[in-house]
Amino acid sequence: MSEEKPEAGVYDRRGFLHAGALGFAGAMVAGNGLDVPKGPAEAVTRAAEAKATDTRGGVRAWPDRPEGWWRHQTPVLSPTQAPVQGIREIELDVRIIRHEIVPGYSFHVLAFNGQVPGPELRLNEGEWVKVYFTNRTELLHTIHWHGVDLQYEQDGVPYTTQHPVMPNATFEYTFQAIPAGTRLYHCHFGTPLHMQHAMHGALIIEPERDPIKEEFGYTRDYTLVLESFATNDSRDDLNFMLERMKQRLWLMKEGLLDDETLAVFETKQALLEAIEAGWDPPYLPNRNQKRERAAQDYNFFAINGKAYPLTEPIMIRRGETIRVRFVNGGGLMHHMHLHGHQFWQVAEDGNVLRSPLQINTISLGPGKTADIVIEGYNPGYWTFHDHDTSRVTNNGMYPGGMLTMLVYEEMDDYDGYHPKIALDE
Amino acid sequence: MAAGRLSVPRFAVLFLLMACSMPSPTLAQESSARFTVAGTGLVSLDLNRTTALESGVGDTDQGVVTNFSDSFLLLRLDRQLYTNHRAGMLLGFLFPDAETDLGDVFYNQINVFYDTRTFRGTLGRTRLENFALEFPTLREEDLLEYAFVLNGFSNADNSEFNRYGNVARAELFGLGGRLHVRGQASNWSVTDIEGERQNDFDVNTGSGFLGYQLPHSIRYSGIVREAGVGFQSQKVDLAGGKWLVGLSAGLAVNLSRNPLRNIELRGQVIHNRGVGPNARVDAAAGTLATPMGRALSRSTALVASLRFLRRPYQLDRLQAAATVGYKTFSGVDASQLTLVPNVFFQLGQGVDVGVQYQYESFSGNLAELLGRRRSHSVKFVLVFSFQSMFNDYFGDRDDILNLEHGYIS
Repeated sequence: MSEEKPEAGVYDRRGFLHAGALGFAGAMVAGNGLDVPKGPAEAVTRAAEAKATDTRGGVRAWPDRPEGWWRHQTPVLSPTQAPVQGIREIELDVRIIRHEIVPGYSFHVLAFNGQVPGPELRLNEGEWVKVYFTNRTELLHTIHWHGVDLQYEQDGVPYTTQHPVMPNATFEYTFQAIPAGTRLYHCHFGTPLHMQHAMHGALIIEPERDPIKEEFGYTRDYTLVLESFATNDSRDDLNFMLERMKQRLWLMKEGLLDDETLAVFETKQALLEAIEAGWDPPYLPNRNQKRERAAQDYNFFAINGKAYPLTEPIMIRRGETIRVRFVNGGGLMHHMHLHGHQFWQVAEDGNVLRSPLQINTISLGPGKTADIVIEGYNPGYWTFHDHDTSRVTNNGMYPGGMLTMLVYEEMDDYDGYHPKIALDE
Repeated sequence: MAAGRLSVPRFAVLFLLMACSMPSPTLAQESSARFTVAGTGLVSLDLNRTTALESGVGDTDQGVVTNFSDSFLLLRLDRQLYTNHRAGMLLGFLFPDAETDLGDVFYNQINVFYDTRTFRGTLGRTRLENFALEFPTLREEDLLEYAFVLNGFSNADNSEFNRYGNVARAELFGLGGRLHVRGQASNWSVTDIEGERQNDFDVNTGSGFLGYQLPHSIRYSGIVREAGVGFQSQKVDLAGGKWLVGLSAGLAVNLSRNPLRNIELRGQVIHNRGVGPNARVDAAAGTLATPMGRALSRSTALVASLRFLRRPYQLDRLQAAATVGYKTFSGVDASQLTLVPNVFFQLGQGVDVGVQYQYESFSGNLAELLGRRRSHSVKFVLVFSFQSMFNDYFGDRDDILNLEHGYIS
């Protein structure tokens, strides 16, 4: 590849380009490490300079940046441009399994390779990958590579970029792993049910030189996939979908499945004509009043498939620096708060921030990722949890759910208080 | 005594009063039950015409009736147990025919059940399950004489005493919910010769059933939809007690597995062995003219139905069915025949409008005893039905997930 490699230093030009507008906005606020105006007078001067050099006749918003700094640098290649050899091959499937989220409570989920979350995929930036995705359920699925720049027919959106993957069929996704960063993959068919229960997984694209590692020198790298489950709604939905799909599969096999039954039309005009002819869309209250699928009643919350007390602790040593990658695979907002520490947010949506933020609570909406670096400067057992504490529950009982702990390894030898397992406060 | 002070004896009395006023002997409960409410408002405008045997013998009658019988309301409450088994209760009532003397409502479901993956036990009043299959008529009573093993203890002219009773039932399930075996000891309602219900709640009937059934969620997935054989053995109080055994067998097949245009054929035979050597019933029990007499007589009943169900985009919209029933009594020249075609159209989910025609004819001694040769009825129907579940926090045995992807207890 002819792609320009980053220069030495953490927040080089390439890192900045990946940071994008959000990172830049954050940096403007933080004023940390950026060449930003020091005061009103300097800002006016710079603006004047920018206007003077602007070739388009307008006022430049970021006059201190080179022309076209915001443009994407790496071309997106199609699968036909993939090399003949050297492609990494990955096999994924989806199955319905019983998943035990806490001791004594299991529920049915859709699971990549039978795991919750799906297996973490680690790729090298720029490498080509071919994913063989086999559907081992009677439902329809796709895989969306969230945050990856790829040819659109590899994007995994049913009826938009591809037909959904049929039961027992295998679909091949081929793409180049760009850009680097913490990303995710998830099913994009029936997303409220499939993605959240639990067809999601972390996709880590590692750069050849990691500016975050070079800056912070972290020694351990953790991934925490945040998940929210509405187990009663998902059971109801899965049963409904499975019953319906069994019938549709028979219709497909016999060549009898029509657009109105599938509720998929070739064009908007065809949809309007069907409605004009008397077809009731499935979203109308007369067809769907019972099935309020958007209004899920979330009752279990997990990190990497497990709710407290089964969540795995994050281990650290005094003086050590660790990296934690958050991936929100669920449908809710989470606000992860670490006790006793200020940590650095170094990336968002997989893209390195132009300037890291020193915070102790980080918010992630659905589909968001964020990377933080924690310095081990305060030995102890430190609670790390969603600060929307309604999600620190198991079926309404506190504590539980999205709760883990930062544990210093040297605490084994400590004579003071050690944590217990509390389940009912 | 100063106000506010209780002497020891008065305190003891108060304690005893409090203890005696406890509302129930059960322990306290802290979690909410799963709650299901279901009901059907079934109202028909019946145009009836009965043709007399011959001029001057029997009644020729016709009339128009607004009929809301078989409308019902049913509550089910159940919850998960510490063992992860389930238990619950059913409480339901229906509206019987006005002419049955059962009052305004009949409590047809008052039972408690215990459920595991492979077992269900039921104790209380519920359906007697005295048939092999159900048939697509407007009301079950339309085929009462043909599709049920009839109650040999009752001379009441109602269907409820033939359909519901007090049971102690055990059921075992296997083959992914498709196979089930049922054993049941029950009390079938007992009346006197005038049809007045008696205070006789002793177990008087034993029954067994072996059935195969595609769970409802996968009802179109196979050719054989239902099959079963069973027996009902009633210890009737005749000449020191005799066993009245009814045998039933049925088969339902999907002629078309198309879930948008399903065609289903079902048939059932019930052979009632009767009491006595030639099915001539004891005179004290009446004759074929009475419900009890017919129940005690040796007979064979056949029912078959063909049903077409149109389900555009997998929603029930139209049902057209034709059912034929034939029953013959052994040892006597007596038979009866019925034809029941009907059409129902769904206006919206749970709201059906339809029409049903029923023709029934009687021959031989039966016609003479009943004093009528044939009858016709046309029923114009409007049905509203619903089912809502609240606090749904566990799956059911026949959920597809539990059937095919590992049962979660």
